[in-house]
Formats: sequence, C-alpha cells, structure tokens
Amino acid sequence: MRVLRIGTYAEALAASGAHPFVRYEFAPDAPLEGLAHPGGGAVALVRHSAKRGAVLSLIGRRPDAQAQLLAQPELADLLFAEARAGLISVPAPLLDDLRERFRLGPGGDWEWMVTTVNPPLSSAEGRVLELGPEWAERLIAFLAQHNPRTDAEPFARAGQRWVGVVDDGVAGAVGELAACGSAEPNQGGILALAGITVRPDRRGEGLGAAVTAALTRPGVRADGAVALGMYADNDSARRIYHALGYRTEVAFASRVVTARERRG
Amino acid sequence: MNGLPVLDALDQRILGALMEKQVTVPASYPLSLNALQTACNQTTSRDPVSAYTAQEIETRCRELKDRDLVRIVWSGAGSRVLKYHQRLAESLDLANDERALITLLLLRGEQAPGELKTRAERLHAFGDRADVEEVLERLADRPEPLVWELPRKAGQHDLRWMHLLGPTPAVAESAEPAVDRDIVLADGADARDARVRTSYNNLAVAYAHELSDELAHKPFDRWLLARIAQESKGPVADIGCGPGQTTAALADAGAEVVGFDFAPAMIAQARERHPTLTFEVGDYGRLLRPAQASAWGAITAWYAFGHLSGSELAGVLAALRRITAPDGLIAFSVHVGNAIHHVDELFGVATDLDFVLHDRQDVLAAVVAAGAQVDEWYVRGPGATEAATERLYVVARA
Repeated sequence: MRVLRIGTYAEALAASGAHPFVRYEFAPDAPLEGLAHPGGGAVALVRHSAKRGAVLSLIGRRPDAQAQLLAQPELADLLFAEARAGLISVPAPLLDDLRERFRLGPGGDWEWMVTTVNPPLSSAEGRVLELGPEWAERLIAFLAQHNPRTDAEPFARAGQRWVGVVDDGVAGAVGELAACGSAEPNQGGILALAGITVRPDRRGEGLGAAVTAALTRPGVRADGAVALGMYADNDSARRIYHALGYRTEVAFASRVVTARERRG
Repeated sequence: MNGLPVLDALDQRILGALMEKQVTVPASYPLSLNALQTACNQTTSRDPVSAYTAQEIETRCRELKDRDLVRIVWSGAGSRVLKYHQRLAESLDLANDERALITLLLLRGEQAPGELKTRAERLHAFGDRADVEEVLERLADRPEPLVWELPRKAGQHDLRWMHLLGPTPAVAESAEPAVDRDIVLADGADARDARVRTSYNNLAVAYAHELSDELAHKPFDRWLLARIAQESKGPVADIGCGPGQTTAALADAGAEVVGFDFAPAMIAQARERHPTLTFEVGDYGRLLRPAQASAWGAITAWYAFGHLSGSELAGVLAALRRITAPDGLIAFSVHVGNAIHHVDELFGVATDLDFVLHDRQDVLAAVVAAGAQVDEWYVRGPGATEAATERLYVVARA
C-alpha cells in the first residue's frame, strides 16, 4: 500500500470523508502533518493540544481503511518522529489493532462531540455568572476536588471564558462554587468546552446543563459550532450533552505507545 | 426633555434592578455584570421571574449606554471589572418617593397603591396608602405623565397603576391579538373531552406507528424523563401516555411507572408495544392515588395538556398536586406560542382536534396558582423531525 502524505487542511478534510473532527479541530489556514489511506476514508493527523502536546489522531469514515493505515510503517515513523514514546488516539473499535501493533502505556477513553444547534434555554441559566481571573485559584481547587481528570486549566491561557453558579453567600459575602465550566477557542477556531463540573451535593438541579448551555449558545451563534471532549465512562454527562444538542462524532481510545513494536 | 424613553421588558428589568440596588445595597453599587444579572433574575420582588443570560444583559447595557440611560464605569483604579450605573432616575428628574414607585412598577408591572406601599418599604418610607396615591398623582400630572391609573375591572377593589415608560407585560399582551384559548371550551369541557377521546381512539394505530419511536430523536426529552425517574421517591404516573413511549423511557430509567390515557385504543397500543409495563385507561382529571403507596412520587405529562385551555391548567395541576407526595415532582411539557391549530386530519386519519399553544408565563403562573413551586423550566426550539413550535418543559415540586 502506498501511503499518501497530507500537508493541508483541504487534503485532510477530503481524505477523511469530511469528518467533523477534522473540520472543527484543525486550522483551515495552517500547515498540517499527516498521512492518508490511498483509497480514502482514513487519515492520521498530528494534532497539537495545549495540555498534551502532539497527538497523532486516526480518523475517517472507513474502519477497514483506518486499520490498514494503522499498520503502515509510515505511521510509526510519524508517531515517533520526535520521541521514542508517542501519543495516539484511535477510534475505540481499533484498540485491539493498536495493541497488536504497539506496546501500550496509560491513556484514556473519551468521546469527541460537536453541536451546531442552539441549546434549550433553562431557568438555571439565569443563575450562571461570569467568573473573571480573580476566580482562578478557587476554580483550580474546585476542579481538583470534584473533577480531577479534567484537562481544563483555569486562566492558564488567554481567551478562556469561565462561568459558574455560586451559592448564596452569608451576609453579603461571596458564596462557594456550586458549578463551573469553560470555553476556549480550539485550533479549528471554534469554542471547545472543558471543566464542566457540578459539586456532588448540587447535582440533579440542572446546573451542569445550564453551565453548558450558557457556554454553548454564543459559540453556536458566532462560529456555527461548539465542540467538547468527555471521558467515555461519564454516562450522566453524555445524557446532558446529547440533551442539549451535542452529537458524539467519534469515541477515541488515546494511549501512550512505546517505539518498540510488539510484532512484525 | 424630548419625550420619554421607550423601554422594553429587558430595559425595564435592568434599569429597575439598578435603581433598586442603588438604594438597598449602596455599598456594592454600581453593580458588576454578575451582580446585575443576579438582581435581574431574582426570584423575589420580580414579575415575571426571568432567566436573562449575562450576555443578553451585557449587550443591552451597551445599547442603554448609547441611549444615555446607563453609565459603564471601571470599579476603581487598575480594576478590570466593569460596573453598571443607571441614569434613568436622573434623566426623569425623580424625587426619592417618585423614584421608589417607578422602581417597583418597572420591576413588577402594574400594582395597587396598597401593594406599592408595602413593597416600597426598603426604598422609601411612605406614611400610608394616601401618601403613595399622592405621589402617583404627582407623577400622572406631569406634562409628560409617567404613570397611569388603569380602568377598574369587575370585582376589583383597588385601582391599579402602571408606568408609561414602555409596554408592561399586560399591555404588551393586549397589543398583539391575543388568542382566546377558552374557545376550546366553547361547547363545554365534556364536549371537548369527547371530541379529543374520539379523535385519539381513531388515531391510535396510525399514531403509534408514527410516534412510538419518537424519543429516539429526542435526547432532551430522554434526559429529563430519566432525571425524573431517578429522582422520584415513589411510583410514577405518566398521564396522557398515548402508545407508551414516555412510560417506557421512565421504566428504562428505573421508575416504577403506570401509564394512563383516556383513549382505550391508545392503551391497547401501549400494552401491545410494551407488554411488560402497566397501562390503565384513565382520565387525568380524575386520577387517583397509586394502589400500593400513599401518593405518587412523580407525575409526568408529556404534551398531555395540548387540548386544554390556558384557564384550565391551574385546576388540573392543583388536582395532580393533591395526589403527589409532599416534595414529589410534577413534570410536564407543552407547546408554547400564541395560537390554536385546528387539525382535521393527522397521519391520514380524520380528527377534530384543537392544538393549543400555551403562553409561557401563564403556564408558569398556573403552576404557582396550583400551589406548586417551579424548580426548573426549559424552552427549546423544534428538532429536525418535529413540528415547528417552541416547547416549554417544567419541573415543579408539589
């Protein structure tokens, strides 16, 4: 099989079958590094995440083409171009193929979602407040306690918007955080949500939905779409996001892989 | 001055909230955007209760700034926080007592002098009701009157006053041709019920065929039904269940649920499609307590009130509340809008049905009038496969 090299957004979009993950997670005007299956339906693209650095993402419309691309030596070359250990994300059904090919380290299973519709308006949204940088320390502590796996890093970069619900304070004092969440432009130029968290004793009041809707509405209006990533074991979060109009476009298994091939 | 400003509902809420907080919490005035949002959406001292987003309020404040009705200031040297200050009182040249009454009329719409006196307590100390009336008359006697005494309605003791700074909710409603939802009761509730029952009995097979799987495309409804199922501390009654799709969703989410519909043919469809679940023919207006418990943990009514007049809602909800456990839930959805759609054919079957689009504020007011409390509400637009109406979902606590 003769693997194709990809260098532009337009090539990546075409070779992936116009997959929304490619469309919304990569910059249309920036050079891009990747590989494509010659028959179409599968690409492997280097994606730069603010928190994790370079991740090779395998994506497309044809599982067979994705499995074949995963087996190519060019893919390993790209994965380990800069280091002996690489980080790769593959559609969850290909995890066994990945295991066949590489020795796997730690990682996570997650879903990438996108919405293009206005979320419902809710009564609780009227309680969602804008949280400025003066909230950074409290947000960091809140996430560490109630959502330790999150990728969100409050105010670590410019352009983040944080919102939340705050308990009524006693005697005019500022109350405790009950819920929070953030939006930040991604590489593709749309907003990506992160760190959506509700304190356990305040769950079941619709606060997570309200925070998500408040963050989603302006992004849909301005950019036409908003994205988010979610750990695959979080069933209640999935129900909320789907309820608000998000669609799971791909379920990924992300793993650290070491350079030594297990077989072949 | 060149005429009075014309203020819409959000303008009135923002300026009223700023005028109120300037007097009641001067230490934290001018208000930050967050504080202003909280003040606008307060559940007390506001009519109607609102859920304006921070963004809506911020955008509107910029427009009010351009109209010289709001001033936007930085809070102290080097601060990054913008604060909002109202200029309406200044531009209308209001004395303190006048200002107190205008604040209340902006925040709560038309009111009687007695109500105004009580509610003005933290804004201005009026001696008695006559003091309030005197100030109202002073405001009405201005070259450009600021308030107006509404004509007395039948059975009303107190005269009510409104401000003249823009459409109040009551006037706004009468400005657009209001739909008369009571028309569905023109020949009485019994005749209406008979038409609805006959239509759904005739429709049952086609309806079940078309809509049994509708929740597959309605993730919002699935989410809310699952939450009700999980939160209910007792058996759930799913009223107006039709062919049982919502009943099944509740059962899937763990509820011990009984589906009720007053059209026997619908119940037959529900039983056929969900043989492991319990369905009973029953009119929700005469629903009883559950057989195995003292009250229902929750009652769900998914689009079950679409043939009721708005004036019937409070009574129906009150009856449901009486058979719901204390702190139990009543969750329902309705189409909202300002119309009644007559449908004489649906899914190829002849019908005689009036679909009532309810008024959002009236529905929320009916919940309160029924003695229940609105815990949450949601408004969503139609999905790709749905009728082109807005939908209101209410979670009320009995």
